[in-house]
Amino acid sequence: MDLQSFLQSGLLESYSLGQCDPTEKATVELMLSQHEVVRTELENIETALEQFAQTQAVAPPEWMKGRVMDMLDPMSKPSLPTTPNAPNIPNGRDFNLLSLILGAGAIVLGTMFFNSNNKAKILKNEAEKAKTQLIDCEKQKNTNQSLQQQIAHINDPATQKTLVKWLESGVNTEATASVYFNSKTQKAFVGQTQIPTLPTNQDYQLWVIVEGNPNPKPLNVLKNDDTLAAVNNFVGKAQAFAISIEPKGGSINGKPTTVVMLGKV
Amino acid sequence: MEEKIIQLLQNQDKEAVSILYDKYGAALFGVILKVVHSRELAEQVLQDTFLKAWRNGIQYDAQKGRLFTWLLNIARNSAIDATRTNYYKFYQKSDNLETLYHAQSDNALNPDTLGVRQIVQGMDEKYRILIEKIYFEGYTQQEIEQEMGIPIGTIKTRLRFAINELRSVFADTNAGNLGLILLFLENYYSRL
Repeated sequence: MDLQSFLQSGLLESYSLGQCDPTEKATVELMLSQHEVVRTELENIETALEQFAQTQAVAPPEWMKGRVMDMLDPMSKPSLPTTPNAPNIPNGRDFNLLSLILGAGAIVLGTMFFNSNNKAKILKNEAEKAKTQLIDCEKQKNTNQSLQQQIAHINDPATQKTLVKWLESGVNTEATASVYFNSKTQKAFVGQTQIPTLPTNQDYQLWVIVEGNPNPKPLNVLKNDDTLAAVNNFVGKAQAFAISIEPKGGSINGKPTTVVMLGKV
Repeated sequence: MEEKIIQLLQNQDKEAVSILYDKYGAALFGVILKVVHSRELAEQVLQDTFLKAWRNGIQYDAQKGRLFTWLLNIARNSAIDATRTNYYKFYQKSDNLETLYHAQSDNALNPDTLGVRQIVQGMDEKYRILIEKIYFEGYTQQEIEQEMGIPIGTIKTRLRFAINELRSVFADTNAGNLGLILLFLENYYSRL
């Protein structure tokens, strides 16, 4: 292509708008390298386009420059490498679509992950809470059943209450224990109140004295609380209940060590 | 001045971007805005444009074109790409009214922009449409060929004529001189 035809072909204008294909681009750049008049012509075209663009100027937001400059920090350099021999005037539509999509995707996935993770945590917490509540309900149900049984036991006409009192007056006169014995079922419950706290190496133990047997029969080691405890089974007609102080865990020889409380049936 | 900017740019000196932004930021933003029709997206494209300029500045070759042309093509191509994404559709839906408002306000405050569009509007349609399609709608010449059935060679010739018209305007006047632009319009119509 001769010089004049080249100048009139519109290739330079297309080149200045980045609209040449690779062959055209190579042709233009060859002509640029060989002819001053081509360089001048391109300069004039580009100047016109620049002036044209300047007339359409719209001021960006004031904060924009600061953001642009911040983006130049080395830490924000692209993870995607640029083509080493990228053309001076870009033909490719190199808008960073990938980063845009990846960014948007990351936000969406991040949000989804965060949401699902959050939902999972919430569900897990709810499940744990429900489990705890279920256990509490079971406990409460058992407690209620136990209390109902105890109430039924106490209210049964065959049940007799025996008040077990402290033997040494002036020591713990207020301390008492109650044994509810049902002669039909041969079951008993025991509850104690205001019994002095023992050293950690000692326990209170309940005993029963059965008609016809002079030796007390060991029953429960008492817990230091206010609840009723089912009394261990025994055979025979109870004449009296006694409470002794024993080594930790109860009598070791089947005989009371020190009887401190007694109540006749 | 341009040589100094190029040197800074190729030394990866941030000052180059600062100067380029001050000198060309508004012009590039104007072009981008006209392509993407979304102020929010235009802001992103403008940031992207300068980031690319900084990253690729070392490859810039002054022998192959002016610095602004290089920047303008980065901006235009970035803007065109942005319009071809679903992301753009999202912005377009949410931003159209706001952009329209801002674009009108901005243009109203910038006397340099007055009349230029009218110059383009006043051109012969076969030239005007090329400027419209390429500058404001982001078409490639191939796309214009396919859509309008105009051979590529004709497109190039017409584009040359259209740019020559612009050159004749700016050869006689400064870019912001509305009076001379209007004079050009009168001259142009008188030749028809």
